[in-house]
Amino acid sequence: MNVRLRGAEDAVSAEDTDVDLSIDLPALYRTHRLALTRLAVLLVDDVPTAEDVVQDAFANLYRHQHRLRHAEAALSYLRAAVLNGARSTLRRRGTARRYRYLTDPPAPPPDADLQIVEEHRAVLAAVQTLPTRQREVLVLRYWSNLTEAEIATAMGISRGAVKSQASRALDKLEELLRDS
Amino acid sequence: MMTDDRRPVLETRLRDAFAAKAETVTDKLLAANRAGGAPALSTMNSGRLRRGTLGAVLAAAAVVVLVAGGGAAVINASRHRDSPATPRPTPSLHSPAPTGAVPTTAVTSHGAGSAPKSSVGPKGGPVPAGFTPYSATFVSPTDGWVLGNAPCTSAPCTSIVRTRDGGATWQGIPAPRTPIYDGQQGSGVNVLHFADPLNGWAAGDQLWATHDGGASWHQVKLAPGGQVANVETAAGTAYAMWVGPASTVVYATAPGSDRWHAVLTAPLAAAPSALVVKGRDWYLSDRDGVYHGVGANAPTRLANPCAGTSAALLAVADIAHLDAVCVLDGAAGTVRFQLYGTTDGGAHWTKAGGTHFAPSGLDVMDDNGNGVLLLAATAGSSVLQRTTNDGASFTTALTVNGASTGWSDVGFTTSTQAIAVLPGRAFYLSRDAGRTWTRMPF
Repeated sequence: MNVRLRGAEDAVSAEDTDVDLSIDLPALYRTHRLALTRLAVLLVDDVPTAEDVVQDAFANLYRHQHRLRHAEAALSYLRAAVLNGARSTLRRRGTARRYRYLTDPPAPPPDADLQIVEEHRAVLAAVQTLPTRQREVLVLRYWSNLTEAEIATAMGISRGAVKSQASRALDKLEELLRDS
Repeated sequence: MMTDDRRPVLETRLRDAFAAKAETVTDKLLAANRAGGAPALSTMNSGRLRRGTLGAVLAAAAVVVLVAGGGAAVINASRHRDSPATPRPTPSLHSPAPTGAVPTTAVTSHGAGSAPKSSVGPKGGPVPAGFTPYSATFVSPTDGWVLGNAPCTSAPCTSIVRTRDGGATWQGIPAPRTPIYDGQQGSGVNVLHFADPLNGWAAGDQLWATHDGGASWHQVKLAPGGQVANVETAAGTAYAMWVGPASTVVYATAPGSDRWHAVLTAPLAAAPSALVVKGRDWYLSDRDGVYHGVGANAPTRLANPCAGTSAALLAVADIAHLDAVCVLDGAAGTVRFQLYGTTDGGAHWTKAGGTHFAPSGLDVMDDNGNGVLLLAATAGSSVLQRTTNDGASFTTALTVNGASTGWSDVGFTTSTQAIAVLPGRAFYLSRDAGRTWTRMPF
């Protein structure tokens, strides 16, 4: 597994390897697993993959917990790891699609999506067409309710970049939904 | 470029669409995935053992999470397990009930051993300077939260403070990014209720939810144009009482979910009182009677003990033993009231003691299930009255002069601990079943 920890650099320090922060990993898992899986499903679109991404994030946290500068950074770390894991998944899917036989049928939509009304499906479909970073900004802003600073930390980009990505994404979405 | 006035519409559509998609993922679904063979924490990572040097570390992480946490599937299957029914053979007002009673208003019970640990949730920071309380909720004698307001430079200034030691110390934690709702104009929240250390709601004319102990909050949509008057939880179900322009609706959900469904729609003209929940039973009274529901089942109608005078102010000790206060008449800021009790779940009511007087704004009543009944009222001054002899006499336990907003969240958190909030004024705690009260500093 090769999950980078971009976005959590402020929370991780190679010099702090001997610091015992006593992170209660089971408690973190109980508290944040569902919310992080919901975040992941908005990025990768299906529940099993979202669960996989979140499991990876917790496993990475366990591996790197001794390098966290402060215990409160654990959630930021997990969020960043979910984003990175989702990106990796989408990249792998893109590669797989290029080598897939043309006769492969498209994957059926998850049953859960049948519960989503048509208007929401149209919005979600439009979001899926956005570049990865724009999609991430929108999800973090409008689902996770993060501030610009928190989004910047999670994504490892500047606050200005968060603003511009969000603005472009909303403009593009408006255009897509107007045309649909 | 999109114009500014169109962006809020798009933002709302986005929030709604994300919420709809995210809500397809539930604890139940995740548990089912594991049961159905989807990758569990241990098996998924042990598979990667064969592919990389990190495998051993990852597998160790999985084992630690699974073992130290008691197993992810077990944790989530049990998080919202219904509390076991507590045998309550004795009447509430008519003879003392056993100690250790299950709390009622503003309080939540959960099965011992099945609730999330109190250590979950955000770490917490300092209490904001100038914090003033609006609503309070406890899930145990030690774990409580207070919703309030504090001066700040960038609105909204809504704040939440949390205690894990019964009010000895408080920490600030994140709050919904919406103002305190004054009940008349503007928009926001003024009621806070937690079901357990993870799941809570802030309500007003908006409804916000947290499923991570208050670390993050998100808005949940019910019907537009109304107000969520109160949220109560018991026995693995949360109930929200929504009052709209033409009707009152009781919604129910599982504490970990944001999918609320209506279990009662009643006409507004019936002038309902507050929703009262005990175990799997909920009660809502109006002038025509008392709605009694069990979980999400269709409610039945009980007789109004105050027939011909008012809607009953209810308190529930257990499903057999209920208390009702009926306003008989009044003048000049004072009302005369009669206490009633039932020992058969509301089929028959009998008078308890004589008539008594209280300030005209009767707000809340609660029964500790151990022979103590609290009655909160406001008119000019705000008072907490208390009876320990089945309504034969009431004594005034607390008087706060100059308060005119009425009480919120008056209730027992255990058989001996009780809380009371004067919105925008003060938060009081009692540790002797409401006999004496202490104003809590923040």
